[in-house]
Amino acid sequence: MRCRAARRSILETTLRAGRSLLPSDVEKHLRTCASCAAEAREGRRLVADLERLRTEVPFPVDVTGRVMARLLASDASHPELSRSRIGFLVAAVLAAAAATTWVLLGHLPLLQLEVGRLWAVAGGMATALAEIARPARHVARALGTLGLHAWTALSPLVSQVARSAPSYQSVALAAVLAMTSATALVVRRDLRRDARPAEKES
Amino acid sequence: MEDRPEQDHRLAQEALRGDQEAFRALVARYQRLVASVAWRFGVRSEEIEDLVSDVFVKVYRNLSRYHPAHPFSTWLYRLTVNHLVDRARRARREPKRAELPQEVVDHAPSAHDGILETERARLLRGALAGIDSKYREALSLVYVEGFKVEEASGVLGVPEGTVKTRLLRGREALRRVLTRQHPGYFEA
Repeated sequence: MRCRAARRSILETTLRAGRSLLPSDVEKHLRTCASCAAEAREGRRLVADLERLRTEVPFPVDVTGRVMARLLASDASHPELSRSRIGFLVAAVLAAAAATTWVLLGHLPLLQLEVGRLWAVAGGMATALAEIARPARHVARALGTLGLHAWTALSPLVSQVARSAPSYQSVALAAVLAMTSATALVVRRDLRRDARPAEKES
Repeated sequence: MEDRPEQDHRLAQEALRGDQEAFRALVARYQRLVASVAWRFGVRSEEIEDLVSDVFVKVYRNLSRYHPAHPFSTWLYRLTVNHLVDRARRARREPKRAELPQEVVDHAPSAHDGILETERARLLRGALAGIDSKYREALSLVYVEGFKVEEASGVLGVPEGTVKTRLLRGREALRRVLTRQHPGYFEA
């Protein structure tokens, strides 16, 4: 048996539950190889010592004050906030996608968007997504950016659709109102959560 | 009366609802656990409080991902180990900021016949700090923390064979360091 295989086998033995005995070929090798015998002996000792390190930290640690101060000082706001923000974002994207599909399917001939406007929408969306990934207080700014870009790009389409069929005007208005209300709710919740720790501090 | 996991779950839920005091209670309850894991991973004592506070800030930000099917302590433990592994990875990428072994530099070799157990632990911890962090992580996870090889493989993001190789080389490296710095270590 080669030393390398013997050492691997010794290692495997230390990893097995109950630390079973070494295989006979390894035992035989250890009787003839002083280096591997030392490795086995010292390795066993080392593993036992390493296992004994599993003890409590030998000095007191108190970071509660520091952790709470960091949370208050940072933009951590509320742990659930990111989840609600992502949920809101997903809902907004799905609603926008559904509305776009509906308009596209129903009024294909009316769509004459220029490539530049599509770029503006994509750019606006990317900016908004990057902002939304940041802490809560940026949500309002992000949604503002998103709204601005979307409005710049889509306003000609909206007015075109509205001219062609008056009923779309009310649908667009309702959509804008719904988005505005949802945004206001999210921002209000963010602000309340941000304000809560400050109130407690005072 | 609630047992500990139930209390943890309730505190986590209250913290999720914005109760800062509930989170404070969780920090107070588990800071020693996090500090112990960090200590066993070879983090220097003067850096432990920073590390513990980093871990709890991370816990707060990820609390919504905690699943009550598992004990909070298990989730916290995993998060701590992952944080330590990430930290070691960052240190490897930034060699200038790599940790200086805390206890290797300030010890004269001691080759006495009966080294006390606490002294052995101190020497071993110093030697652990002196070996490559890849090996240290594997040894700490498997032998000190008691992870199975497959679990360590998951935490470290490497195949099980790699974990075993690191264990083998880590043991050899540790033996070399100990034999060189403390010739009496294995004779005691």
